[in-house]
Order: sequence, then C-alpha cells, then structure tokens
Amino acid sequence: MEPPKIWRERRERYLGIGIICEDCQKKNFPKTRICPDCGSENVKPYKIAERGTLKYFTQIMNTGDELIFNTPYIVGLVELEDGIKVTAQIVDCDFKELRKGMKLEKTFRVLARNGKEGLIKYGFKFRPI
Amino acid sequence: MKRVFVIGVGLTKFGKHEHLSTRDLFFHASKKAIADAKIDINDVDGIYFGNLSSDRFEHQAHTAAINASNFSSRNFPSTRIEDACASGGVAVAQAYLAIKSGLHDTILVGGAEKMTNLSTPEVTDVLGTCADNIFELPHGITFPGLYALMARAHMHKYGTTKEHLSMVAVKNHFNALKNPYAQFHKEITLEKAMNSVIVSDPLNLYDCSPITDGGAALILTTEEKIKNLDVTPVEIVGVGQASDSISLANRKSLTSIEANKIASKRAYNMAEITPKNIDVAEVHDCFTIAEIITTEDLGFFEEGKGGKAVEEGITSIDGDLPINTDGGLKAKGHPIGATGVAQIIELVHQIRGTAGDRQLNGVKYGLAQNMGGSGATSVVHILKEVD
Ligand SMILES: [Zn+2]
Repeated sequence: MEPPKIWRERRERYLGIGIICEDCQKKNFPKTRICPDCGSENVKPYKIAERGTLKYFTQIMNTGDELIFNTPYIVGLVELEDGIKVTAQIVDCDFKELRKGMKLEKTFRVLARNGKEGLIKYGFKFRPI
Repeated sequence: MKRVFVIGVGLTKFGKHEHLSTRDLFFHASKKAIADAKIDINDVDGIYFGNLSSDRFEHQAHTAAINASNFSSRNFPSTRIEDACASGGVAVAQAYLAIKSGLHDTILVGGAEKMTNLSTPEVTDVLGTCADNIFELPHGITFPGLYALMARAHMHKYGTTKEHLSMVAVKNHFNALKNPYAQFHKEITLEKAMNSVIVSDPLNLYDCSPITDGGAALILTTEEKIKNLDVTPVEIVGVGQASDSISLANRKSLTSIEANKIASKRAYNMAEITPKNIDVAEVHDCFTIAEIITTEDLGFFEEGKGGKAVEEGITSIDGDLPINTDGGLKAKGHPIGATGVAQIIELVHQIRGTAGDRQLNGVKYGLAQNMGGSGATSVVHILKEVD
C-alpha cells in the first residue's frame, strides 16, 4: 500500500472511525458520507466500541506478499458492543482456544510490513479479555 | 424490444498457457465463436470484454482496443468490463443490453484472464483488490478467508459439514473428467478431498478453485439475423444483476448472498419462470461453500439444505438438477474474466445437444450465476431452447 494512502486513512484505521447518523441514530463502519440505513447526509464521525464478541473465525495459511511474515494468522468477524461488525485479526491466543462468543478487546498493532515501500502499517486487532 | 440469441461459442482450453497472453486467449476463443456462428468478423458490430486485471497480471490496460485491433475491423467499439470475478457475466449482460436496445445487431462478447505468470502470493494480492482495501484487506483477510467465515456461519446455523464441502469438490472433479477443456482431469475421492492441506480453516486446497489461464467468447445476435443463418440458436430469456456491500462484515447475513437472491429473482421474472423450470445450472463455485450457498439463494433448495442436496446426489450429473456439469470453477478452472462467459457456453452446449460425453437429456432451461468478490456483485442469465 502506498504511503499517501496509509496517511489519508490513518484516523479510520488507527482509531476505528465510522459514522453515526444524526437522523436515524444508526452507527456504521467504515465511514461513509451518506447514512447507508436512511440516506441522510447528516452524519458525524463515530469511534467504534473497544470491546466485542467473536462471531466466526478462520486461520489463514496462505496470503499476499505484505502479510506473509505473519502467517499463519487468525482473522475473525467481531460483533462490537455497539452492534457494528468488523473483520480483524485475533491475536495473543492460540487458534485451538478460540470459541464463538468469546469476549475480545481492541488493541493497536502492526498490520503489515515489507510492502512495496518498505513501510510498516499499523491498525487495530483484537485479543481475548 | 429485440430478442437476443446466442449463435456461436468458443473456448480455449483452461489451464496453463505459457506462450499465450490475454490478447491471444481472447483472440483464439473469439475466432472459434465466429466460426461456430458461421459469420464473418465484418458481421460483428462491437466487442464487450470481461477482464479483471490484465493491468496487474501483465502490466497492460486498454485491452478492449487491443482485442478490436486483433481483427481486421479494428474500428468497431470495444469495451472492457471489470466487476471482479463477475466481469465475464456482466460483459454478457452489457452485450445483451446493446442488442436489446436496438443499438447493435451482432456482438462479440467474451472474457479472458492470464494468471499463471505470477506467483501464488502475487495472485492472492491481485485477487485481494476485489475485497475492501480500506477495511478488509489491510487486516489480512483473503478470499479463501472470507468464504471460510461464510462456511463457518453456514456450518453453525444449519449443520453443514466439512464432508458436504468436499462432496462438491468430488462431484465437480468427476464432471470435469468428461470436459476436454477443463484444467483438471483427475477424479478425487472424498477422503482425499477431506484431507488436503488447509488454506484457510475449514477450507482446504480442494475447496478452492485454481489459478488458470483461459478465454471464452460468444456471438449474440437478433431474431432477424438468425433467419439467414444455418445455426442452432439459444435464446437469452432472463438477465438479472445486483450489488451489495463489498465488505462481508456489512452484510445482513453470512449464510446467504443477498445479491444472488435479487439478481436471480430479476432473471426469473424476466423469463417468467420459477426455479423449478431450470433443468441445469452453472453456479460460481470459486469455493465449495459458494456452490452450497448459491444453490439455496437461487431457490433450488431451502436455506440450509444445499449441503444435503449434494450429499443426496440431486446436483450430480445424473441427479434431478445437475450443477456445474462442465466441472465448475473448481475443476474446469477459473480464468477470472472468462468464467462467466464459459458458464453460458456450457448451457448453450447442453441446450443445443453438443455437450459430448456430459450431455443431459431434454434441457429446455439453463441458468448461469456468476459473482464477484464475496458476493458484492451477482449476475444471473437464463437461457432457453428455441422451440
Ligand atoms: Zn440514518
């Protein structure tokens, strides 16, 4: 991924910024300019919840060049306490220990490195509480 | 409005073509389609071309114009369509529209992809561009990973098993044995399919479609034009397309693909038929779980019963509703841009009675479902025998 793109998306990626709609109150992630639920443009930035539960998960053995250093790694679909769902890596645990419904919390980590520009890309992952 | 007919089909062998590039693959498939339709390139009004990423695979964009230049009629309009793995199917839908509207009479539509010149991690990276590159890809999710999450959800909700997934692979490999154009001619046992190396748990190597080079092409034309031709036309009677959130996390359901449901409903409505009328279907089995979920989305089976249908042999070539008689993406191969077009070619063969050793009896209606990403684009075509 190119440096300008990493820079441009840093807030969303580092903090997990989505939107809350001031008309229908629905929260969504990722950030959009229009509320996907009611179509209103009256949306403001919203920081997604820090904790959630594990819905489904997989262990990835083969991946693209940027993430090979990390394999095998676990990716899960996490349902946050505010109802938002995100796809993220699950860390600090063994694949065999994972259970559907496990409580998780957001943590700040290295997402990828050794990309075309040799940069390190940061973002959130989740770990068991 | 005009009626639209397929009058010619052409396919390259699917597999590894060390000496052929995207333009060659499309050219070879096109020449066969033109010959099959018994027309001349000068009878063609334009080209629609499905291709995911010649830019990344071969450092070549603007491939539509190259395709036109490869024929003597290099000035006709030529358009490339990119809708991830649905590029080929959407190209056919656009060609249909061009004729239906009356703008053109005869269209060469096809797709091609040259993939085997990159390493597997590089191909994974290119395919990854079809997922959300802000909120999915940087987190390390891959396409096998996304479909693995869907498989887990389907297993949890409906009791679908790993055996069910592997049975799809066994069935499609068996069908490919009788398809000379398929990448694999290798019968596999359930035991072998169950125990191959894990790619993204619970999906293993035999749950995934391969990396393939290939091209596919069709000639579409009008009712007026076929009157003077000595061909067996097959009519396109239904077309439906739908989109959804590109990221899997934002879908309402993980156990069904809403775009499939909406696209197929549109196609059934246009054709004025129901799923019960379909005699054979080609579905987008990029991963085995995709075939199971899609056969439910298309209304062939109740939600959650797709795995059981494979187990009971309903979708086998000698079953009540054969699915992927040509081997599917799994065993025939998946050269991205060509895939949706090749599916329609199999239906044309089954309806015309030119499917060789895999010919079914009495096929009147065939359905092809082609999708992009984890289901953010779905396109469905229904083909019908001409009475
Ligand atoms: Zn709203």
